[in-house]
Parts: sequence; C-alpha cells; structure tokens
Amino acid sequence: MIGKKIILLLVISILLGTAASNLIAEIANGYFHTTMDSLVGQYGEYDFIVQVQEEKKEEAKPVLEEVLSQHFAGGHYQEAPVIGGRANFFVAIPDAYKTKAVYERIDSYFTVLPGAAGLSIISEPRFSIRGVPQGALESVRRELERLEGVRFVFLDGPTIHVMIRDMADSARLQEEAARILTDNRVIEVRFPVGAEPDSPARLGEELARKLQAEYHPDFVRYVSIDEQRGEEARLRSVLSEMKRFLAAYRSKVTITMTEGGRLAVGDIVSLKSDNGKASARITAVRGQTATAHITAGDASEIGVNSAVYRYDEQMTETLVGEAVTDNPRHRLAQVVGSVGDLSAVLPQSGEDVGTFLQDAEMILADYDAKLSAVQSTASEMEKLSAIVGRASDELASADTTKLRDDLARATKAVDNVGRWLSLVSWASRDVREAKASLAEVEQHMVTLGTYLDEFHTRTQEAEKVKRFFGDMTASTRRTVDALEGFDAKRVQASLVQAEKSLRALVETDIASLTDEMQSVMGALPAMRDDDIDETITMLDRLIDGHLVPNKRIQLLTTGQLTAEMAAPTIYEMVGHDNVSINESELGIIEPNTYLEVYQMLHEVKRVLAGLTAVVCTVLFMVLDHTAVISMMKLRYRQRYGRGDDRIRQSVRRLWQEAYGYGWCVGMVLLTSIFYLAGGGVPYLPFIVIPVIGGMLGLVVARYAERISPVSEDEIMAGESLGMSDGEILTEIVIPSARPGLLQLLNRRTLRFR
Amino acid sequence: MLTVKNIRKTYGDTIAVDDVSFSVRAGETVAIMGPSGCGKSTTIRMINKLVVPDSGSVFVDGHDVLALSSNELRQMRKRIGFVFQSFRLIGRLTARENVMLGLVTDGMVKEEAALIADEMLAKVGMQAHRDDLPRELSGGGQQRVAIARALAFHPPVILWDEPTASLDPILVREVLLIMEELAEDRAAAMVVVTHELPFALRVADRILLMDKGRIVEEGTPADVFGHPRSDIGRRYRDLMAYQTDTTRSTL
Repeated sequence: MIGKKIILLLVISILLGTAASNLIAEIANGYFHTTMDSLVGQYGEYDFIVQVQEEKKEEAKPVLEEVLSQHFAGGHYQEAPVIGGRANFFVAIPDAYKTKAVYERIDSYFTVLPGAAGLSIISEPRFSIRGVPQGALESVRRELERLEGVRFVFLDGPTIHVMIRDMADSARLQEEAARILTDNRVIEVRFPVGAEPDSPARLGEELARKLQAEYHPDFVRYVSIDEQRGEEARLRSVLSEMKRFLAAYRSKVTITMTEGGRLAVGDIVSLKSDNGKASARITAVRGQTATAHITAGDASEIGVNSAVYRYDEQMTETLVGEAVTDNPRHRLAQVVGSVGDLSAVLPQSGEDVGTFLQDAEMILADYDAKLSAVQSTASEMEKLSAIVGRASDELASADTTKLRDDLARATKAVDNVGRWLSLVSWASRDVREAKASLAEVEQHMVTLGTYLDEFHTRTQEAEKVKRFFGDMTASTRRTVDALEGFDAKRVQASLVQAEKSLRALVETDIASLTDEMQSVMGALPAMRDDDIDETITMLDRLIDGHLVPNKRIQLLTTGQLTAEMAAPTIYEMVGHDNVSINESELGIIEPNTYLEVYQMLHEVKRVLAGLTAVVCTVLFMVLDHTAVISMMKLRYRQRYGRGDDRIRQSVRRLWQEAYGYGWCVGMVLLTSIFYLAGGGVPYLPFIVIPVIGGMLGLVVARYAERISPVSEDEIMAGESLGMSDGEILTEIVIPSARPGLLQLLNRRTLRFR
Repeated sequence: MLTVKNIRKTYGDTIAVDDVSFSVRAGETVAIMGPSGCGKSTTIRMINKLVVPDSGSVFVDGHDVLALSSNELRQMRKRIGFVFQSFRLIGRLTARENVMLGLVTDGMVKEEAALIADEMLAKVGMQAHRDDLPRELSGGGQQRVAIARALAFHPPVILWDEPTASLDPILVREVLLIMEELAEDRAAAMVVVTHELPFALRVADRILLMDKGRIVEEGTPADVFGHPRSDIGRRYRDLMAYQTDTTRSTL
C-alpha cells in the first residue's frame, strides 16, 4: 500500500517537477528572447542590418523605403537601437529576392543611403566559412552547392556564406562542410626575405604538376593568386609610407669630427649640451663628417649644438666631435609661428604699401607736367646763360634784381622736381641719375644765388659768373635729358600691377593658413626621436617580412598528400630548403554569432530547467520523503542501535536502506524531471545527472531526521497494536510530517483526519 | 498461555537478557521485579517481538512468536496487549481515536470500533474525556487511555512495562486499581514489570526477581519476600520491612 503510494508520489512529483522546471525555463527564456528580439530582431525575421550615421538617420529612412520599393518590393524595415553613433535598421526582403546574385551585390543597393556606414547579413539559416584560399573559393563553393539542403552559396570577399533551406539541417550541413574542408588540404610554402622565387606562380604550377605525378593524389592545384596583391601588399605599401614619413620627421645629426676623432657606421655616441644629453647611432661617415640619428632622448633636449662623446669598453668618455642637430619638428613649429606673426602684421603693412603705391601712381600721372617744367627751366637757364655770357661785361652796371628773382623761382622749381624725383628714384636708374644731376643743379643755383649777391657787389667777377652759368646750363641739360629718358608710363603700369599683387596678398587668409598649419602640426604624431627610431626599426622588420608574410605558394590537394610527403619535392624544385612548409585545412567554419546567441539562450533555458529540476528534487525529497527515510532510520536503530563498535556501526550505517532509498528516489526524481524538462548543463554529460540525483538523495537522507523527525514512542505504540509499517506511516508518521505532496496523497486513505 | 524459553538479548558486548525462561498460565498475574537495567523491560518486549531476541523462543497460546511471519506477528500482537511506561499515545488523535486506532486498522468499521472504544474508556473511567487530545489529559488519564487501548482487542495476554513509573503516587493508585480489577477478572494472563512492591504483594500470583539479565528468584510473593535466597531478594525484603515499620510508626 505504502509502496504504491510512494510510486504514485514519485510519478506526481516528476510530473509537477517537470511542469515547474518547464514553466520557469520558459518564463526566463521568454524574457531573454524578448530582450534579444528588441536588440537584434527575431531569429530569421530580418535579413540585413543596415547602418547609417546617427545624424543621418531621419534622412536615410525615406531613401531606405525607396530602395526597398524599387529593388525589393514587399520588403520592410524596423528601426533598431543606435549603437556607437550608428543608427541601425533591420531590413527584411521577400523570399523571392534571396538569391546568390542579390546577396553578392547587396552592398550596392544600400550605399545610396545618406550616411551609409555598413551592412551586415543576418539572413538565417546560414553558416559561413572563412580562410579559404582565393584560388580555391570557386571549387569549394561548387562542392557546397551540391550538398542536399543548401539553398545557395555566395561569396563575401574571402568568406563563403552557405544559405540553407531548413535550420534542422544546419548541424548536418556544417558537418558535411567540415568534411569537405578536412578532406581538402592546403600545403603552403613560404619564402623568407631574399629567398623568394622570381615567379611564384610558375613555380607553383610546376610544383603542382610534379607532386601530382609523384604521389598521385586525386588532385593538386596551385591556388595562390598574387602574393603582392590585396591586403598584404597594401599593408606593405602603407608601412613603407609610414617609414618614409617618420624618416623625414626625425632629427638629423651632423657631426664634425675633431682631429683624431674616429667614428664608424653603427657607433653609438653621446650628444651633450648645456641643456641635456641624448644618444645617437652613426648612420654614415664621409671624411671628417658623420651623420647620425638619435636613438635615446630627443633633439629638443640637446638643442642645435652639442659635443659628441664616445665611450670605450671601460666607459671612458672621449670627445670625438661637435654636432649640429637639425630638428624638422622644431623647424615646422618655427615656420608655423612665423606665419602666425606674419598674419598679425600683414594687413597693416599691405595697407601702408598700397597707400604708397597709390601716391606714386598719382605722382607719375603728373610726370609729363613736371618734366615740362624742368624743360622750361632748362630753357630759361640756357637763356640766362646766354644773357650772362653776353652781358658779363656789362653786368657790373646791370640791374641784377630781375635776375635774382628769376633765380629764386628757378631754384624753387628745381627743388620741387628734386623732391618728386626722390619719391620715384626707386623705379629707374635714369631717375636716380636725374635726381643726382638735379641736386647738382640745385647746389649750383644756391651757389649762383651767393654769386649773384656777390655779383651785385663784385662785378669784377663777371667772367667767373659766365663760366659758372655755362656749367650750370650744361648740368641742367643733362638732367633734362635724363628725365626725358625715364619711361613714366611703363613704371606706372608696373606700379598698378604691383598694387594688384599686393592687394591679392593682403586678401589672402593668412589666419586660416596659420590655423591649418597648426592643425597639421597638431595631427602629426607627438613622438620623440627615440620613439621614432624604435618605430622605424619595427617597421623595417615588418616590411622585411618578419611579421608580414612574404611570397608564398599555396597548393590545394587532398588528404592523400601531406606536407611531410611533399617537402623533398618542394626543396628540390625551389633549389634550397630555406622555406617553411605548412599544412592546414581548407578553411574554418565560422560560428554564426546570431545563431550562437540563440543557441546560448537555448542553453540558458536548458540550464534553468536543469537547475529547477534540482531544486524540485530537493524540495520533494525534503517535504515528502524525509519522513519515510526517518522511519527507516529508526527501524535501523531498533535493529542495530546499541552496542556494536563505532566503526562497524558507521560502515553498516552507510548501507542501511534509508540511504539506498534516498539515493534511488533522488536519482529517479532528478533524472526524470531533468530529462522531461529538457534540462542540460554545458560540459556535463547526461549520465552524470542520475549520480547527482543520487547524491542529493544521500544528503537529504543524511539530515532526514533533523528535517522531519518521527516519534519513536508513537511508532512503537503502533507496532504494539499490530499495525504494519505502511499503516504506521499512513496513520502516524505522515500526518505528523512536513506538509507536502505525500501528506496530500495520504489524506485519501487516512482513517483519522 | 505464555511460555518464554531461554531468551537472550545482547547489545554489542552487553548482555541485556541472559537465558530467561518462565511461563504464565491463562488468568495468572506475574510480576517481574528487579533493579533498574536488570533486563525486565527487554524481557517483556521480546514477548511480542518489539525487541527481537538473539536466541530462545516465546510461545503464546502455542504459537512460536519469534517464528511468525510479519503478518502473523501483527495478528499475534493484537492478542497481546501492551501498556508502556510513557503511555505512547498518538498525539494528534483523541483519546477515543487512540483506542479505536488498532481496531480500525485491523479492518473494523469505525462505528463498531467507537463502541468498543467507549466501552474500554468507561472501564478505565475516561469516557468523559474521550474527545480530549492526549496533551489535554493528566499523566494518569493518559495511562488509563493507554490501558483502554491495550484492552480494546480483549487480549488473552497483557504486558505491562512499568505502567506507573511516570506517575505521581496519587495517580499511581488510580492505575493500580484498574490493574487490580483486571487481575481479579482473570480474563487475561498478565505480566507486569513493576517497582510497586505493595501491588506485587497484593495482586501478583507469582514474582520473578531479575538481576543482571537473569531470573534470580521465582515464586509466590510470600516465598520470594518471606524467604529470599538472593541478595536482591533480601534487599527487597529489607525494603518491605522498612516500609512497614515506617508506616506503622507514622500511623
């Protein structure tokens, strides 16, 4: 009777535990799925995530709608959260458009979106393979397309995406794809720097033929395409550019060696100045001059001039020369500073020079009138000279008043001309000569005035005056000739041009230029010379192929041919053994992140179901079975309770039926609930679950009497009344035990409720 | 009616009962006396196999109790009433239900069992308390209910395991009077483990004196306490004289 009750109890416990485990797992799973769906959409609901810059989001929406209506009629999109400044749109397209052709050019449909920032393919079910050599992409694609259940296969750069018809086939197809990748091998031959073949392609083809002939695998194909192509070549090019830039950017040290000072390429010297010190490595030596690069410290720490020391093995310091350091970064900073200064003064200077040029133009415009005045003066002078000549003898009695007035006017005129010529003297050598002559005239006229004064009193010196007039007239003539030779119109035209140029210069936005230069300077790496030296060394290593693979040959073959087998043939064909030969699978199946996340959620659900199963098992054990176990233990004590040595008791206690019952019930409960609820724990095989259940049962059995104690008095009273154990359990033990399922079940048959 | 032959019980190295044999006729009352720990309780518990003896045999009405199947043993236990020192009533059941319990689990309909229970409770003077829970009764009351429970099957053998040991002297008398009545009825063979010397002298047909697991004296009260042959018998005699003198001098 009680046995049936226990079995019924177990069945009900298992059903309830399964329901509870499923319920909790489903609730948690539902929550996680809802959260995930809000982030990345439901599995398979959308095909692409289109990203645009956040600020272009609104602008992109109508364009996206247009793209969908134009190219994917029936398609729709859903806004997704903005992540990292990028707005995301989930895009779904109708099934009819899901073709290889569409997927291979899917990017081109969405590049028209304003602020387009990327596209990810999330169509499901799908898996991807990467790492396939480019030359083998097509053959692998063909093999994959032949697999049953594959919808189509498309290439996305070096990655092969396999769209499958039914998710249920995913695991099988991935296994078959893995088999294709495993069956095919890539044997790769890499050449170190300096040992590259002239034509890797020709050598590769020959190697393939020879290996095929020697080992007869199903096939051997040369699948490298161009070793200097693609990303590697671009990387090398970029690295070279970086190196070139840094080489120009670092400081250059020119050392003039002292007499007896000797330096060789590679020597490390110390540069010392009042400001500080640095170390440099000699890079070239020519006569008594050496060049070096700073390897420790920075040019700014030693300034332009420094003393050069060398150290011997005992670290004794010897002066070997003087160094001049050219720091391009410092020069750049200076230039930017100067341009900044220029921008501050240029507008005012331009204005001043412009005003001057305008004045000069005005003066030149009046040049002919001034010249006429000079010519007129010269003519007057000649007349005066003639008069003076003719009348020199009569001068003593002559009235000189008029003559002195004429001379004063002439002097004033000459003075005006002289000032004007001073202004334009920079324009022409002729003008400068005329100005000099005019000065001479002016001097003569001053002298003449003096003489006239004296003439007035000293008429006896008329001869002297006559000669002087002759000289003065000649000088005036030369001046006039020089002025007549001056091309005022040409100079005027030049001035107009100069003014235009000046205005253009002033209008130049020097401030923007300065800002831009400062911006460029700010963008340049703030590196010390030793950093630059180290970086250049590292770039050299990279470019030389230490880290970037150099030329290589890739051969696609089957598992029948191994790298070890092929090595002798390869060495023979290459002509040396200075190559590395590796063998690898054809590619790697890439986990589908989207699928992985959902699988992970599924795992979480299973784990939750499993944990709930454990909790339910413990709960059922504690509430329902501890009373039964307690009674079993009491019975055991009644049989073996007293006397006996402790060791024997302990050993025997382990084998008492109470523990057996606990083990069995725990095992049955946990295993059944775990299995029926679909529980699972990663890395824990199912076979362990019954053991865990049994262990839980043992633990509960160990503490059963503390959890649900039974009254020995009452049990013995029942026995004395001739009650069976089942009746004692039903009528005495269970009704007094902890409330649980067993108590509920027991109520049906309980005689005294 | 009851024959115990050479029963022996050990707990590890401790000998609780050693080669004890005795017999009780129908209607006879036998008191087992002796110092605490001498094996009295173990002996009577072995009679209905509440304690399983290591060896020996117990015959009740010609049936070897130790050889019975579990079902037969349960049936046999219904024919052997047992009254414990600590009452051992079922706490969640009323006095009446406690008395009914054995009858009902034996298949008797509740109504019939209730009638018998009422009759038994009336016999021990507890009818008025039939609906009380054990915790609502005095110690004497609980023991009387326990006696009613033991009598419910009208057993031909009743075993008493120090029924008054947990009671105060006033309550002891209540219980002893019931036991005396039962003994006078001669309806059942009674084996009484007790320290109550007056009861033994008044009621017991025979006395078994036990010491260290063995029966050291057996006979009528007059034989055992009048002419004791064992040390424990002599100590009982001295005790009896002391109690008599004290009573006389006091009164």
